[in-house]
Amino acid sequence: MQTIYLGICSTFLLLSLPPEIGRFELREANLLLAFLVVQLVAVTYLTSAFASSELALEGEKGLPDLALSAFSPHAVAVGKLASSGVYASYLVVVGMPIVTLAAALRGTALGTVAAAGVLIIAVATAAGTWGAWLGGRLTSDFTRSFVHWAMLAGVFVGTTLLPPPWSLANPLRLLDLIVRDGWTVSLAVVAAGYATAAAAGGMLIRSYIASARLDAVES
Amino acid sequence: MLITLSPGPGSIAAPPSSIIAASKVGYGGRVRMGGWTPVWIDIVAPASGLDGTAAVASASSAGSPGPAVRYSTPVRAAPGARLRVFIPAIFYDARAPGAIEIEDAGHTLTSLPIPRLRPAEELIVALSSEALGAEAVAVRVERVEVAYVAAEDLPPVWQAYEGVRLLVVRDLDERRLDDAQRRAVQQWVWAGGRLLAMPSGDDTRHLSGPTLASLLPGVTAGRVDGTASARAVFTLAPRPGSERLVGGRGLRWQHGRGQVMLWDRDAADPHARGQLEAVRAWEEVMTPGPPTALPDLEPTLAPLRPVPTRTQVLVAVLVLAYVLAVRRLSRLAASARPAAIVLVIVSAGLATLIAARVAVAARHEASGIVASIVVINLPGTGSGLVHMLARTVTAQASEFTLQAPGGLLLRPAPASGVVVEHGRQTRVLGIGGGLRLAGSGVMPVSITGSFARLPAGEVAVVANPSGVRVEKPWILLAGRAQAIPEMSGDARVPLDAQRWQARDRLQRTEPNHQLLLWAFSLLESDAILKTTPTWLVGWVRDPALGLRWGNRAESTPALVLVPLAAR
Repeated sequence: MQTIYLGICSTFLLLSLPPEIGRFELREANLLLAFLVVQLVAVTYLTSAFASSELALEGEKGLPDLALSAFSPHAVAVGKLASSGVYASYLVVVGMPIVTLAAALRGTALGTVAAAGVLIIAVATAAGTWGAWLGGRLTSDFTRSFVHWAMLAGVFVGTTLLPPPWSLANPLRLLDLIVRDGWTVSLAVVAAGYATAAAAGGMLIRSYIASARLDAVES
Repeated sequence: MLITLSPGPGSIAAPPSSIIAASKVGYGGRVRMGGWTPVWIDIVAPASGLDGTAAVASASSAGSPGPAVRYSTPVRAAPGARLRVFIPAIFYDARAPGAIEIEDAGHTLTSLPIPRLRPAEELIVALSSEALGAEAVAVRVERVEVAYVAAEDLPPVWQAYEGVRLLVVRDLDERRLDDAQRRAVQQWVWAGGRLLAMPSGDDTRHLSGPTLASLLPGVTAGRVDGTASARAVFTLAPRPGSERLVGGRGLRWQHGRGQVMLWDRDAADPHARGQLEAVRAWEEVMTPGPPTALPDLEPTLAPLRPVPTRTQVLVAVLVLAYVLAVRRLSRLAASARPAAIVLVIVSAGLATLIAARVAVAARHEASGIVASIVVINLPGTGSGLVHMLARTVTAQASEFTLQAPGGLLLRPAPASGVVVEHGRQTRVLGIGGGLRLAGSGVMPVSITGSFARLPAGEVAVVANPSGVRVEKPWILLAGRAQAIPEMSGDARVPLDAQRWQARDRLQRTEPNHQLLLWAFSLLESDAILKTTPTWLVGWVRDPALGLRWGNRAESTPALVLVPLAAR
């Protein structure tokens, strides 16, 4: 799956190579923004889809299996939080050369790429953690996928309906801000907000594991 | 001794400072907004000497918040030395034109705001110690203003005469002009300027001086006795190609793209002022000649800058190799061994560094200019009029330096945030792509030619002593064009009557088909050029016209238009 992810990023990069430089004169940062949006959406989807078991990943266990394991609820929650964060970071890191190429071709400061990477990791980790919780909470594949997609739509589209300054919770809008202004306080606040959301997802996972074991004992 | 009769309130740019002793902007303070304007700065070097730049920071047009355009020139002076510096600049805001700045080793020593300018669409610039009596005619008939200037204030670059409809030379002390100023007058006329020369009372020495002698349509051959005029009237011996002025006061001729007129008497005759004959004479010389401005080159600019395919292939191969490498390494990482994970991270880091290097190289190759350059040979001058438009192509935040030959002034558009340095070379420093640079200049061109209809057929004879290679040449004749072989020296080219093509039905040609069609259209529509029916049109890569993008020479070919004289 990561090969497809890198393939999408590479295709996007190759389409914007030098012939386009002359055509558009690279006055617009839109191409880099579009590239980062593709990366954000891809990393967020892949992280949450693997965590929610919508996509299968070798070695990745769902919450129902982990509920039967010897790990404590806290360890499972931390583990899921960590696996989402590590996987999102991994995707961002392996995509970094291609993003760097896309950004440097346009003369954009590489700090922009780093700031975007931080945001993407924060958003994808939160989505992954909540996706993992959904994977345990909803047993029906259809319902799980539906709610998973609804959650992603909420993050990417629903947050645009928020009034300012809450609308900055929309990661696409924030990416636009990053491409234009680089690292900002808003980015730090929103990234912290998504990290908090990830921690909240971890709390839900912990609570789910605890209640699942209680149910198993009672039954 | 020449005096400035009406210097105008804006002629002194700013109160003198300890470093800027005096400054003059425009012609008697009058400035054509958006046109090249002469700025003279008298500098007294500080006690530590001076090794820096003098600059005019010209504010963006009113209402535009963009940063100023800096027109600068290098300055070096010993401690306490006085020197006079010329800077050609373009002003966009008459109310707050900008400032004059002196910098030494990167530090601003002084900055003086330029007072409000007096905008004028067109001017008559006069070198005369006495009023010429042309003011009333100029305002009434042509709505132009007359500015009297001192000889030493004439610009040393011909482009700074932009906005000058007529240069009147009545008094001229050659000792107060340098060679650059003389050459500028000549080149301005070649490029389309209009010059009127006349005796100053009994004095005609300036008419045979080095500035005017080669430009004038005739020479003074002695005084005419017994005239009613209070001042001397001279007999003029015409040169071949000249003609009498309609009013009978003198001679005129076409010189290059410009016109030169010579009067046989002094116009500063208070008794003749206001007389019908004098008024009509002024009206005749003030009437603009055929338009000399050339059409816009923007439609001829290539839409994109060709980039070597190898750059694109290199990037594609590297990206593909990286994706495949990650695919293999990720299998290793799946084993969750710390060493494998570290290997993946280190590999990604290394690949990121390589990507950054590759991107810089690709950007360098993809950045540069697209340009259309035309050189019109001016018969009898040994020179060509250069008309150029370039557009920068670069990444959004990339700084660039474009270098052009010193005689080529580059006008930036949009006029904001650019530094234009004038010295032995013209350099433009800016950031980002999309900047247009309109250039004009007069350069030596040694290609000449002739055309003859012989019993055996039509023949073009080209003299090319410099040996510069003329690529993909064409002969244009009465709306028809014929491709001829390339030439790297003198050539005698028989023309095939069967190979003429309608010039608007030509197959697409390289390197710039649109510019070729632009030139064909120009040669048939321009009032001055179309008087010559036969032209040689071809591409040359002359180093004298070379542009440099950073350290890289750009190889944009120039289209040379050479009139072929009928034999």
